[in-house]
Amino acid sequence: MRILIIEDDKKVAGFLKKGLGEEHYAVDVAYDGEDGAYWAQANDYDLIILDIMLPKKDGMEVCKEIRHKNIATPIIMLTVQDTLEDKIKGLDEGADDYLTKPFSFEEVLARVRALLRRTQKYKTRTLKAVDLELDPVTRKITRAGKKITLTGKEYALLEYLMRNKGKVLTEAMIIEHVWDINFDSLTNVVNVYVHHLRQKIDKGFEEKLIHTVRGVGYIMKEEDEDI
Amino acid sequence: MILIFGSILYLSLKKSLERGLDISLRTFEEELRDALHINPYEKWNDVVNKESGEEIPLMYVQIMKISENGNRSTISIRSKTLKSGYLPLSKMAYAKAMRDTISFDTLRDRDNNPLRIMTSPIERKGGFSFILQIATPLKVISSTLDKFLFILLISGPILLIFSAFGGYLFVKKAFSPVKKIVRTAKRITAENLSQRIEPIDGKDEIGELAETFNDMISRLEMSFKQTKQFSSDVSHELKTPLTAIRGEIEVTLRKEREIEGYKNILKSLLEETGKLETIVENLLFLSRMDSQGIKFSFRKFALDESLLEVFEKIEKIAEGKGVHLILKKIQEVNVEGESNQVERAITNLIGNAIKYTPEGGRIEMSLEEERDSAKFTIKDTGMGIPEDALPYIFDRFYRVDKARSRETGGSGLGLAIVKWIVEAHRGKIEVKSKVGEGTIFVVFLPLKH
Repeated sequence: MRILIIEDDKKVAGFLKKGLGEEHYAVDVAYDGEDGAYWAQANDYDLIILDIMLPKKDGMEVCKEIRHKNIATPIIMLTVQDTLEDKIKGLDEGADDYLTKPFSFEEVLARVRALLRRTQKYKTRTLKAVDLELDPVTRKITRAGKKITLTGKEYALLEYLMRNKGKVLTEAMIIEHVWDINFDSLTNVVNVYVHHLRQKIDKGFEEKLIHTVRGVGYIMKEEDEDI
Repeated sequence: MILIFGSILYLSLKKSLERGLDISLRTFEEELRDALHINPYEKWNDVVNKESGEEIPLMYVQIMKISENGNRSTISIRSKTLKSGYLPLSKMAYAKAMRDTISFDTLRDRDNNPLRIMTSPIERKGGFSFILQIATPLKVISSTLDKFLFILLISGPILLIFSAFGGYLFVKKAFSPVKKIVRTAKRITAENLSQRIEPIDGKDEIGELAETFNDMISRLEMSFKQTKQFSSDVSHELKTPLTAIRGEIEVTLRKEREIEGYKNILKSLLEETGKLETIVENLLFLSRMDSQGIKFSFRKFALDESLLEVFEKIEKIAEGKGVHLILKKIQEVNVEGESNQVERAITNLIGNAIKYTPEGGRIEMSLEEERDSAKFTIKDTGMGIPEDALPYIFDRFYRVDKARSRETGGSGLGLAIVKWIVEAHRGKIEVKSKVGEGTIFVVFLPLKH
């Protein structure tokens, strides 16, 4: 899951990037409103964290612009004053949620998870595919009750596949949502990670979950599902 | 009001009617007296009936004979108009008649009808004194008065209603602008100061009042806006470092880190605490100045020495950044005030210049006398301030470039403090700037000889 942080304070942006990165999210940072609005339109993000007080273009304007371009990515606004007026204005401009500074990082994580859950079909806490289960809160993965340990990137890839269960995902899409902006997309890294993931998830099980769609990309699906 | 007016009208009408009646009584009396005078007593009865029979209004005549010793009177002649009745004689009228004076009375007859009676003495004839009484019923005027009273009682309330209604319309029209003002005033709250009273035609007092009112609301709105902006700025400035501190600690504690990682975080936290400290200190300084004004002890001091002192302290910082700090012409000048505060202002100005001047740049300072002032000039080769930002640079929390000044550690209050200190010393500060070339600040403080 790829997140864009638009925040002018280097330290606030810094700990958000670090903390979210350690939770296996791919994170990009823009330090002013203009850059933020640009990146939000240039890349396909799963979530945007947007500060209201920004140089060049304030958060309300950025939000308006993004929504105007029909980008439906969930937006969490960061505000300083928790006046009702600000909250209403932010929500009206198209924000999905807001956090008042100073906030707890755990709350950021919870809100991020809640917003990501909204875009999936079933609003349960855990993601499921046949007997494979992924809990985004504890990051525990089990298949047929057996615990599976994954590296950060493997986890991020699996989460993305599971959130989009039944949909064909191209390599480009996977790169955009699992890796951040500093990633060199010319390598066959997706291929490699899918291979690692298959070793851990599908190997030794009757029903394979990760399928290759030749010439297009990959899909996670259950046997009885038709696409 | 109408009641009083009505009463006065009623009474004066009554009086003039009575006077008219008295006049006709008197005229008749004179005629009668003349007629009696030329006729002997025996013919009086005929004379009385003849005279009174033709008269309009109705006249009653009665002549009383007074006994020789004057204490008994008997009615001797009565006009036919009196029929079986007689005219009453009051003691007062009797006494007056005995003293040869005429009197008028309003009395009631047997049937309780009011009468206006004139009583006059007649000279003795045949050893007798006579009292002539002429009366006319008051019914005539009382019926007129009753009619008048009736009209008054009917027209009074009608007049009252009309005048009240007219007055109401008039007052309503005259006061409708006032009402508008009141309505607008009621709608105005701290959250809603955009309301204005509609302009009122005419240059009268109410128009002026509305205008004054609007001016006041404008000023209030401005001041509320500033306060709101200021408190929002304050919370932003304070909460951003707090967010960073809290977030960095939380993220760090989520995992075991290398020693180096903890060290880096602690360093970063120290920086943020430093920022908070500066902001809080400056805010306290400004709020203390705003609320009570710092009580400066005005003492004469050498401004050149203060400048050199600041220079020595700050030189190292400039060196560290690779900026040349140059003292040009420094004259010995004395000013009056608190040297600590003036030094604080100078420190802020030099510190600012260092912050915004890139490596290899120059900062030149001079101090000289100019007319009655000590003139301190500081010129840098920094990035400069855009023209549209110049009017605001002394405002609290105003930042030309938010991102950059936050990084350089500015609190956004430095220049506001400088301006305050300079003005508290009865001085002034000027600024000239060109983007890409540099900025010149000039401070004038009154000389003290």
